[in-house]
Amino acid sequence: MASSSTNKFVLKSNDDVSFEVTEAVAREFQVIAHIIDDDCAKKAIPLSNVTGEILSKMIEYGKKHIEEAPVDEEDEEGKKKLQIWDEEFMKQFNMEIVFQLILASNYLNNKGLLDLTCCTVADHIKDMTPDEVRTLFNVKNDYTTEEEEEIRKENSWAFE
Amino acid sequence: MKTRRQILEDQKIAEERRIARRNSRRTISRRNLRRTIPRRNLRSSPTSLNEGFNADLLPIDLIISILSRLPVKSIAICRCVSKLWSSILTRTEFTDLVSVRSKLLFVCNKSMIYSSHQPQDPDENPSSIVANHHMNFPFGICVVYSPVQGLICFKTRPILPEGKCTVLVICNPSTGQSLTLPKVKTKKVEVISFFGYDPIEKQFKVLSMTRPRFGINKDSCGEYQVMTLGTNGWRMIECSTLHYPLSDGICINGVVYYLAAVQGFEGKSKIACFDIRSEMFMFIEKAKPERAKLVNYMGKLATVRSNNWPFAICGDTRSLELCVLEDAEKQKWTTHTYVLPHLWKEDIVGEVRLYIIGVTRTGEVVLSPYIPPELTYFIYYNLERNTITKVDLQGLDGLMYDKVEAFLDHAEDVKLGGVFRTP
Repeated sequence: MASSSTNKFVLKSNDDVSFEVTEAVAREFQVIAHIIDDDCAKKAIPLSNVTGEILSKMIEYGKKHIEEAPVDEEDEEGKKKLQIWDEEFMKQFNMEIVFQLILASNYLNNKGLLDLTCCTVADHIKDMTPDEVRTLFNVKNDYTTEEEEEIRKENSWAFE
Repeated sequence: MKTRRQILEDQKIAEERRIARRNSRRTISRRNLRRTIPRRNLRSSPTSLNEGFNADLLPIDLIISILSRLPVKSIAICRCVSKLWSSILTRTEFTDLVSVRSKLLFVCNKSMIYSSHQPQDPDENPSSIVANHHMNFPFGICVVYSPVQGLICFKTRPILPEGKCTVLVICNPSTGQSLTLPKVKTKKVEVISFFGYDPIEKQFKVLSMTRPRFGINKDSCGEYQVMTLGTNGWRMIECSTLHYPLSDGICINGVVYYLAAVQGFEGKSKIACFDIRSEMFMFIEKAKPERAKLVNYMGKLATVRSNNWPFAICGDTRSLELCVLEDAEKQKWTTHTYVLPHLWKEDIVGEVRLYIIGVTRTGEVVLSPYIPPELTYFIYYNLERNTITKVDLQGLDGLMYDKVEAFLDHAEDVKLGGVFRTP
């Protein structure tokens, strides 16, 4: 049997873009790892919920985390380097892409990327007003004026 | 060997199962929503900011995952977004997620409160953590009780007009809310208090006991009083065993434990167990006669001491002894001795004396130098793996502190309101 560094798999996005990746990179995504373990990955693996654009970014993330994985638990420098890379990696995306990455990393089950993307959104909204949050998440304000006044009063310490 | 057709079938089935799982989860979330939220709110129309992507597509569990990473202040602001969001943010699945992100809490100079991220996973091993400032108290804090369920209790001495009387203050460092409790009614001179939480009735209670300065009973507390937060005042309770507390309290699973000298039990101390819900006392024998630090070890009461100090550990220390209370009724303890790693003195501790702060939820003993400016790091000692991790503390440097008290496992309280809500 071929080793995991030479084994290649093809991941296919829902808009028919194919990516050839090594087994190690493919296994960064739990769902794909299961497909490989179930011996169902002899041909292209179709990923019906992910576009080519998003998939290419996810593969870039997966590759980096395989190539630059810290040597061991003690490898503080390696961890720090990867963390800086993660931060830089996320800077290139607008919120729309970040939301799509959240959905896709949840779908393909990559905990690292899901954590990273969720943190990015949390960091983006942490100083927002309720109105700005509503706009970003498409949430309709269903409070009546009195109710809104009440809930703002209850949480007034947070607005100081 | 599978045929091409079989493989295709398998892939299709696997895919369908995943979608079904996902959908069923979404159905549950939606069903829950429908109970509290009018239907129309589930479909809000896209606005112009997110062209091409509708954030409505995010399932509730992912929204929860995002919002659970927010600071408490931002969570409070998000409660004002909509009724749907407010209902999400008060669900137990959300508040539980936030309360597991335990923090290290610092009380500096008895007036300033800081907190920092607390490493949870033994593999996480960050090399440094940063303390963030929460709040200042204008009055001096005399005694700080270990944080319980996101709240802390202080004994303070207000400047005027109360004069010498000390009062108890409950505060939520995350929100800055605080509440001064009514004075304990007593003619006796010394008031000793403990703070606890009953996870079943979800109630906070303060236990106070008072001791006279003179008389035959001056070595024990005579009156025992309890106040339930959210109610009006102190209630007298019965305690048939007169005793005098000798240590700080620690609240585990609705029971407050502390060391106590029990009357008629010369020279020996026992462990007092006060059940928050039933308000009953029980006294149990210690595992070993020596003094030791009371800690929460994996949800059980335990005592930790080193072979040469009750509450500390130094370069000459060879081992740590951990006694775990397995069964309080039967007073059954198990004892474990952990020999410190080779080169413990040379590589790690040197001549510094480290104090036992507590044990993390994953069973690591946390040690720290006590007196500033030495409090610049923590040592995590993993008992099972026999490994030591040093974590630097940043954010307190440059400030002059006489004293820093550190507490483990401060769970942030985001139920927001609760005991501080004005009736």
